[in-house]
Amino acid sequence: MLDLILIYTALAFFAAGMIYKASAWFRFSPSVDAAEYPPRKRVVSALRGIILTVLSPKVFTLLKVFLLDVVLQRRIFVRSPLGWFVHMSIFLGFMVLLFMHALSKYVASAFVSEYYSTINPFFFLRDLFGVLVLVGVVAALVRRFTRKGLVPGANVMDVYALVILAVIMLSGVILEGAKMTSHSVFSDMVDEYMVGGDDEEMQALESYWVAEFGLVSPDIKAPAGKEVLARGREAHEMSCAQCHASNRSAFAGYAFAKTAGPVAAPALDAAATRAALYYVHLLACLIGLAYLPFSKMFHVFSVPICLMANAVMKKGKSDPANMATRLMVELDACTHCGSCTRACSVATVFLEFENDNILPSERMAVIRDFATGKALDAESMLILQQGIHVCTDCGKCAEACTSGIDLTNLWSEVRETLLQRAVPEYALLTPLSLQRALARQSMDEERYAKPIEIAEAAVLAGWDRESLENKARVIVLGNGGMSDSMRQKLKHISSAGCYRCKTCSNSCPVVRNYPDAGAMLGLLPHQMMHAIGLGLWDMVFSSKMLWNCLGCSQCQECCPQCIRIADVFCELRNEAIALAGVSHAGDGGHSPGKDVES
Amino acid sequence: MKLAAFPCCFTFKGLASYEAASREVLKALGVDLVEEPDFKCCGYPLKNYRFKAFVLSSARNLALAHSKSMDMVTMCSCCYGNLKHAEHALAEDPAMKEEINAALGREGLHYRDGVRVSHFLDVLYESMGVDGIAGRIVRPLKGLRVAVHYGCHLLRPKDVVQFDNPFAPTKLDRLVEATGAESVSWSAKLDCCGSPMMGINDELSMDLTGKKLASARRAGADCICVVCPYCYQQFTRVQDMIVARRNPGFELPTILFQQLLGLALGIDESALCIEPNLLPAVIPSAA
Ligand code: HEC
Repeated sequence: MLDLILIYTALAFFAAGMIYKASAWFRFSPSVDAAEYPPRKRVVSALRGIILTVLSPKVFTLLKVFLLDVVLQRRIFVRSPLGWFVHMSIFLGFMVLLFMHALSKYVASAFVSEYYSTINPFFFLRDLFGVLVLVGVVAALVRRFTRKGLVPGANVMDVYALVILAVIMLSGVILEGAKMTSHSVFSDMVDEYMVGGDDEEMQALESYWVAEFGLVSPDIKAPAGKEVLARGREAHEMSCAQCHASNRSAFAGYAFAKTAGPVAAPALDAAATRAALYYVHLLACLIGLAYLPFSKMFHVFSVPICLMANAVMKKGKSDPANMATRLMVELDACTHCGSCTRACSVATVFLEFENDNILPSERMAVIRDFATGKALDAESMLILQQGIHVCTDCGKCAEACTSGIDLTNLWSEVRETLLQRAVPEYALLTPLSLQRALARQSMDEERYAKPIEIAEAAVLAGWDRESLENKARVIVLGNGGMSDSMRQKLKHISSAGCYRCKTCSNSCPVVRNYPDAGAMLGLLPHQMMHAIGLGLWDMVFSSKMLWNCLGCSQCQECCPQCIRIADVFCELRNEAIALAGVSHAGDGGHSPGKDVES
Repeated sequence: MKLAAFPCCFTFKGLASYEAASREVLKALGVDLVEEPDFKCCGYPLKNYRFKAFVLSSARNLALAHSKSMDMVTMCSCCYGNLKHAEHALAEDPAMKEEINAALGREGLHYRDGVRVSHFLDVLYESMGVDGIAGRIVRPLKGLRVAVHYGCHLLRPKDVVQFDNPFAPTKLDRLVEATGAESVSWSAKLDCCGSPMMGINDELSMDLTGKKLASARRAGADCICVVCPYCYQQFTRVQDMIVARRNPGFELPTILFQQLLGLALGIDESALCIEPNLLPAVIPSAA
């Protein structure tokens, strides 16, 4: 009765959790167009999409992906055969135990007319798969905690998932072993199943179980003689063998019985102990079930859906409402396995920015919080915005993703959504914005241009004399990280002998592009050099020239005095971005993880 | 010494044809490059943002190559120029080098100079020579007038990249001429393709690209030949944008040097990922 109440409570929690989680797929989306697709429309689109796909030849693609990627987990194998072995151990072991053991009443019994957990192969298989899961769990923990390089180790959710599995398996094995040693269980069984038999025969049976089945008997201390055992065996075959394969088949439980039995038999024999063990086992399973939708284990549902959806969906072709929904499924399908970060082309610079949102595996959870409307503080939002923009869109993360998430698409969607907040993003002033530009046809013109204007305005702002004095800003050249010698060169530009021959400006393809270059660009390169020499930083940093420099080094190559003009410009841009970060700190626009004296 | 191919982020997914064509040509010429899956971005896009992050990115690759006793060959001119630039900056600033090594230590790496970074044009130029290549041409591209585009990071700053004369380079021209084609002289040849401004000031970027295209066309070129993926993207996808938005009245085909050479070496055009409509522009007889 109590068990039933517990089971139904857990099921109710599980069902409610599942509905809640799945509803989030339709209620939220990190897509910049999410507002255009209200939940009702998205549910209808999803149903329509599913029905149309299932009725089309694409159903074969779905089947193939289900078999190869969901069941056989090809994507994990390709990344790491060892990782595949570990995951397969857990996956396969758990699935078999679920159907053969936990749901035996409904599943195993349906296939086997007289199903008893204590006959082979079930008796053996239960332990085999339990041990397999345990081996997998331990290996997974070891792998997570011994990772080299930049890939972060396990987070709380990863550990929870592994620990709950370990508790389920260990409590099961221990309970099984405890029952094997238990004299009261034995006596109950004898009372129930012993066919005929006198005291002597019973004694023999007990001796036989002590010798062969790990039973610990308070009465039998010395090993029995051959003859007694032979009689015990006969009795066993008469009354018990039809339901009992050798306890040795259940090798894990048997091993426990043989080790713990001699020392702990009385305690294990206490009904309370076995009840406690039983409830630890049952509750671990039920907690795992009830909490599943909110734990990482939810991936057992989200990953297959993600893999199959992504196999048949394509941006630009599929219903955009479904694309918005898919992003949510994808966020739930992340297992924090770290493959993306291992493959990431720019992960290295995490060491310089110290922003863990640069690592793709670490920003997934933050994006999920952002997408589902959790209130993130300004700092977290900035860290996310900066992290997600430090990305070359190389696509290696998406290729590596074992859940088949289209990460490249996810990043670009989230970036556009974040940019709508109008907090300046300085990465837009670097070649990191190239892919965005190449995709601009698919974007609203205004939406495309605005964030660039905001970023440019932010680096150019605040350089008039008045606000300079008000803010009492001190120029701290060199914070962009350029070399000491470079810093020296900057300071000595005038003494380096720039005689303003204008060769730099004349050779500049940008200057040449405008009939009225001064009006378009502010200071031209030679004027920049002059202003730097005079320390007129307000003029230098408020010049658009700085942000329209290609870095092509024509000026530098042509300079008769060998001044490294292009390098100077590069330094100045670094500086301007660092300084803009500081001045925007108040309105939440600074670049995190960077100290600049001001 | 093993030669490791250094991959460009930009081509991995965005320009698969670039990687395929490069691989085909190197294979045909018997240049043996090893793949190093752990190479990462050279850091180029971060140069104007956080210079040290850029140097760190390059330094990591150089350190990795050093630890595996490999020399590096890049296809992309940007990767080439920027790896060189980082080397230069590290040599110039011991303090920064120390900081960067402290960071690299977290990945068990350490930067030392000594890894040779070359551009694959140099590998062809030095190991095979122009004559050696000319000797292998089976399908001479006679009559094809090519506007050769080097790309900034291959040429400038000269003291850093040390590839060719930055004012009058000849290496790529001679390699192109080895295929039987003619390298035309055009006024905008050494100018930037405009790519660095794409995404920041698209109008300026398109202005510059448009000017180069017009200059090449005035010089009577049948096509522009590029080596760098950024330049290639600029002359293809951005040219499409220019055509759509500005109606310049002409389109100039763009071919990768790898594809051009591959064709002349007799490699199948589909293996080189040459689009069918590009072929007649390059091989008049194929029309
Ligand atoms: C009708 C089938 C059936 C018969 C007959 C039967 N058992 Fe069992 N027995 C079971 C099942 C099923 C379990 C496992 C119950 C559980 O896991 O809680 C079990 C468990 C046990 C256990 C504890 C676990 C273990 O494997 O040691 C003992 C001891 C045991 N039986 C002894 C006997 C003895 C002795 C006989 C013969 C007199 C006997 N049983 C006859 C079905 C049977």
